[in-house]
Amino acid sequence: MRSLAALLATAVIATARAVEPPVPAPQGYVTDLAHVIGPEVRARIERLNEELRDKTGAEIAVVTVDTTAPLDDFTYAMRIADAWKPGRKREDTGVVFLVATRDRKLRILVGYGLEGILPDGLVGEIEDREVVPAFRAGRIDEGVGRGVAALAARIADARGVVLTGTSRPRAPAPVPLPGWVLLLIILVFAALVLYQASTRPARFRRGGFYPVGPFGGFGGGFGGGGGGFGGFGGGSFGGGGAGRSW
Amino acid sequence: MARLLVLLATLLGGCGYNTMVALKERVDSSWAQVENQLQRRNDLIPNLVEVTKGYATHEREVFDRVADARARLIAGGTREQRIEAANQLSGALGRLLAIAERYPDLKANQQFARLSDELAGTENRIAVERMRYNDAVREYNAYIKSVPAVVYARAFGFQPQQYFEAPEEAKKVPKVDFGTQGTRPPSEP
Repeated sequence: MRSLAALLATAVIATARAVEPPVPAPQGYVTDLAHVIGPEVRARIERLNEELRDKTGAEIAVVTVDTTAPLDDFTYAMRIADAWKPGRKREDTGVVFLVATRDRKLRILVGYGLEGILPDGLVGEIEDREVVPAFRAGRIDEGVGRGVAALAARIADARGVVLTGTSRPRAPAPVPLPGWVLLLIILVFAALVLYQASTRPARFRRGGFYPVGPFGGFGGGFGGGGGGFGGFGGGSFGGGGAGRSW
Repeated sequence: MARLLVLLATLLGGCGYNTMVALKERVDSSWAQVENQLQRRNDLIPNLVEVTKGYATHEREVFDRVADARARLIAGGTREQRIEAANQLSGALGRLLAIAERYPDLKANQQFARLSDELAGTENRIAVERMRYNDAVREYNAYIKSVPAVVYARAFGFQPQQYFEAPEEAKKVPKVDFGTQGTRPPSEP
């Protein structure tokens, strides 16, 4: 009995240790937690992203933090990538652009589907040429803006499209659903999920369909509140990309 | 009561076999992903060594060590042997990249910068696939070691699988810091 208690205690400790620091929620294409991106650069990155998404399906998520501690910059960026999933689903055309200002670290991660267009060596080159010099001069937002522009240009080029830098006139604003309709949809959906779960043993559920899954994707959409950002697409990452310190 | 429990456990085991097969399948497919990345790294090495040799002529020992570990990995062997060889190669490559610190011309070479980025990126991919593999192994091992599977897993040939454990120093990606030339001391060794 005592050994059982000991076992339980270890299990609890093990779980506690496995709980990792949570990653922030995305606030749109630019999640500027270190407050280093000016409104002009932010608007430019958002416009570019909308156009890029419309024309190629690629998405570049920019995130700035003070520090990634206790994680290293790569692990932190990977967490963000796994949680936010920028890029089109199954095509995996996402990029995560992480800046940790106090750590003076920069990390760009490239989704599976863009690894051919943006090999690690090229990403490093873009960092050296476009981003690091501006960062060294203390102009973080200029560096981020130039870096995103270079990445977007490369993707557009490889896909044979031209980015004009002006997004299409905001298409007829999606008719905002009244709150109660939304609620109804969610309730019906939840009921369906629960019904399914109750009629099929958990073991036989199709892979990848876990109860919380379908809701996860909406997170960004409701939180964003502004300018056409409806959550990221669902891309996967395998660790490609490059990092620098400055 | 106890007998009833045993009976129940055995009956449930009927489905347990399929679960074991599925879990083992996941272990093997994650390992295949690890192998892909190890292969990718092996393919990068000759070019990197070639460029480095042009600048760092007196580093025979490091080059030999890399060549040895790479050859061992290519030679194949059991999963356990391959894990060991892969770790050895990580260590040797870390040393290879570290010598760049002593050769400013090499560090300034664009091709070397590109290849080091590719190598660092591949090390990261290996780390990611290694983690996914270990997760698969953890789930599989836990399953076959718990009731009811523990009773018959071995009889069906389901052996515990080995984790891909990386030595502490290999977890750190070998780093050549192109970002700190002369302006700031590197923040980390």
